[in-house]
Amino acid sequence: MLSFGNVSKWYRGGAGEVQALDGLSFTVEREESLVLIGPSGCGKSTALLLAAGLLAPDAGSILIEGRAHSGPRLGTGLILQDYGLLPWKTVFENATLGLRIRRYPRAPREAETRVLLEQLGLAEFAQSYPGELSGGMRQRLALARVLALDVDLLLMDEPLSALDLELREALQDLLLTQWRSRGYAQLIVTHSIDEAVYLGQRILVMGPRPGTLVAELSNPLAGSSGYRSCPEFFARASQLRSLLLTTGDADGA
Amino acid sequence: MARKFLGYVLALVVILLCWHLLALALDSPALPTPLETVPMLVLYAGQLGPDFLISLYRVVVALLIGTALAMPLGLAIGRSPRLDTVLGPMLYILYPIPKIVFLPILLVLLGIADAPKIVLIALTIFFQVLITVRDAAKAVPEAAVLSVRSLGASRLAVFQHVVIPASLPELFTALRISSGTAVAILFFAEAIAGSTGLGAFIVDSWALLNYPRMFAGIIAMAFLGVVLYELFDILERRLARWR
Ligand SMILES: Nc1ncnc2c1ncn2[C@@H]1O[C@H](COP(=O)(O)OP(=O)(O)OP(=O)(O)O)[C@@H](O)[C@H]1O
Ligand SMILES: [Mg+2]
Repeated sequence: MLSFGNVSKWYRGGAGEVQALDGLSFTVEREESLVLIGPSGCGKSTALLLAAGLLAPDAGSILIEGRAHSGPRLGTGLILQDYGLLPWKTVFENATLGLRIRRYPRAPREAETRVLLEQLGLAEFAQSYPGELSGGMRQRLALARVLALDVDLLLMDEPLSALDLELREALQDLLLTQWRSRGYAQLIVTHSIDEAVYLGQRILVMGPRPGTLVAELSNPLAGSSGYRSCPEFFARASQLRSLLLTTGDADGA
Repeated sequence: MARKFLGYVLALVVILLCWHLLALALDSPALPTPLETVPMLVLYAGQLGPDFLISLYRVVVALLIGTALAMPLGLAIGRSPRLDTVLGPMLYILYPIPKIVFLPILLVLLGIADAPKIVLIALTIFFQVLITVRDAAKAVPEAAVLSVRSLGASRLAVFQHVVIPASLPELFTALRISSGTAVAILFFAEAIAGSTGLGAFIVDSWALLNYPRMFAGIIAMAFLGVVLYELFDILERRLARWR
C-alpha cells in the first residue's frame, strides 16, 4: 500500500537546517493497522505529511500502490493532531467538504454525509459549529470528514491525544470498528503505549531526531475485541515500554 | 434588536446630559447646549440631509474601492512569502505616511468634487485593510490548510474555504478602526475643498459663528459613524456567522 524507502527530510528555516528524518524505511500493507511511536520531535508528524503528499522527501522514495506521488492523493485521508476543522463551517459543511471540493454531485453528497454523521453520532449537531462541540465530537467530525471520501489509506497524527482516558478508549474502539468495516489501511502516530498496543498490528519505534526506525514489534492480536484485558495486551505493552526505554523516551501514558 | 435600541437611547441620554452640564458650566457661545442645538437639526434639515447623504456616499464608495483593491492583494501577500519579501518593505514605507498629505496633489489632479475625497479615503482604507488582511492570511492555522489540501483542494479552493473566511473577522476589525480615520479625513477634505458634505456644513457654520448650527453638523457626523458601524455589524453577522 504505502512504502517509505530510505526517506530523509530537512527543514530549512531562519535557524538554519534541521534534519527531521534520516533514512526512514517501512511499509504499510493493504488493510493493515500500523502504529508509529517515538520520542517527541523525532519526525513522526513529518513522516505523515510526507505520506500524505503535503511535503516532498529530500532523499529516498515514497511509493503508494507502487507509484511515486507528487501532491495529495485522492484515496489518502489525513487527520492532524488538532484536527484542522474549519471553525467557520458547520459540522455538516465540514463533513461534506472533501466531496464538495471534488465536485461530487450535491444530492448524493448530502445524503451520504447525513448517513455518515448518523453513524458517528453527530446527526443532531449537523448545524452546529466545531467551536460548539466537545473534544470527542470534534474528533469524530474529523473522522467523518475523511471517511466521507472512501479512503483506502488513513493517516492519523496523535488523533486522540487531546481527549481524556475514558473518551479515548471509546474512540479507539470507534477507530477499530470503522477500520474493520471499511477495510482501509491505517497509519497512526501516537505517544501512548496502551494506544499503540491496542491499535497497531505492527508497532514501529522511531529513535530521537533525526528520526529513523530503531525497532519493530509485531502485535497480531491488535484490533480483536476484549484485547485490552488480555494478558497478551499487558505483555506487549511492557515489551514496548522497555523497548522505548532503551531507545529514547516516551510519555508512557 | 430591542436591546440594542435601548442601549442607544441610554447612551444618548447620558451623552446629552453630560453635554448639557458641560455647556452650562462653561457658559460660552462656542459650546451651545443640546436644547439650543437640537432645534437646528430640524431647522436645517433641508441642507443637512443632502450633505449627510453626500458624505455617506463618499465614505461608502471609498470603503468599497479600498477594500476591493486591498483584500485580494493582502490575501496574496499573506500566503506568498516571496511576494511578502518584495512588497513588504514597500508597504512599511508607504503605510505610515498620513494620506491626508496627498490632498493638495489630488485636488490639482482630480478637481474639487467627489473624486479627490473618495481617493484619499480609499487610500487610507487600502493600507489599513492590506496590512491587516495580510497578517490574518499569514496567521491562518497551518493544520486547517494542510487538512483541506489533503482533501484534494486546489490553491484556489484553499483560499475559498480557509484563507478568506479565516481573514474576514480581521477585515471587519480593520474596517471599524479605519472608518474613524476615514471620517476624519472626509471632514478635512470637505472643509478644505468644495461646498458640499458635512465637513463643509460644519466649517460654514463656524465661519458664520453659528455654533448651534455647527453642533447640528457634528451630531450628523456622529450619526454617520453610527451608520457605518451598524453596517459593518450587519455584514459581519452575515459573513462570519460562526462567531
Ligand atoms: N515547519 C518546520 N520548520 C522547521 N522545522 C520543523 C518544522 N516542522 C518540524 N520541524 C522540526 O523537525 C523535527 C521533527 O518534527 P515533527 O513535528 O515531525 O516531530 P514529531 O515526532 O511529530 O514530534 P511530536 O511528537 O512533538 O509531535 C522537530 O525537531 C521540529 O522542530
Ligand atoms: Mg507531531
